[in-house]
Amino acid sequence: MPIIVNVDVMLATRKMRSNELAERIGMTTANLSILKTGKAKAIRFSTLEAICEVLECQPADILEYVKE
Amino acid sequence: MKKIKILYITLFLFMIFGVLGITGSLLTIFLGEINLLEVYAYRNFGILTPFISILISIMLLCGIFNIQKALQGFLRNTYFNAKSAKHLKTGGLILVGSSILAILNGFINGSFVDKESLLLSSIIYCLLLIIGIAVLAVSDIITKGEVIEQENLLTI
Repeated sequence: MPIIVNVDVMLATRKMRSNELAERIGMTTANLSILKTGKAKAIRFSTLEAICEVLECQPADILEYVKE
Repeated sequence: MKKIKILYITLFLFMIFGVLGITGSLLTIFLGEINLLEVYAYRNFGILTPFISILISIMLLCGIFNIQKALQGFLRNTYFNAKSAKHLKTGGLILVGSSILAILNGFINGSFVDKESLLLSSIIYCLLLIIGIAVLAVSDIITKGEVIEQENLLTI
């Protein structure tokens, strides 16, 4: 998929674990895993907002476009 | 769900009656005192006439069986699942095929029955054809719905 979700990079920067992020944004670890592995078909703005709020970053920090 | 369960049971009972009816017809033909050569001598299909009707009935039951399998899929899984869509498509095609054969059979042998019976049976077979086409349409809707559901499940 051309859109890559770089949540791992921000998690490492903020020294946070995946399960902690999932708990803080009200998401299951399974869904977060789907997001991280690029299997998600779409992301809601509310989810993106929650991730950016917890990780204190911009959407561009976690979303990247790579031409196929 | 309750309505699907009721429909499932209704189709199941219909199939039981259908099987009993076909069994009764076959027993009458083979074990009864009917002389097929005498009764069907002047029919267009000859002694094959009752067997053609039985074949159409068996096709109809196969179609209903497939629809029942699709309903079973709705009860066990979600409404939008590929297996149910496939069974609905198969059932719909069989219903359409059997109704077309029944209509053709009715018109070919129409001169041997009274006009009222021919008209009534033609209306019933046309209704069956419409139901078959409707089942095919529902199958398409279920298939497209499954795609939408999958996308929705993978929307985080």
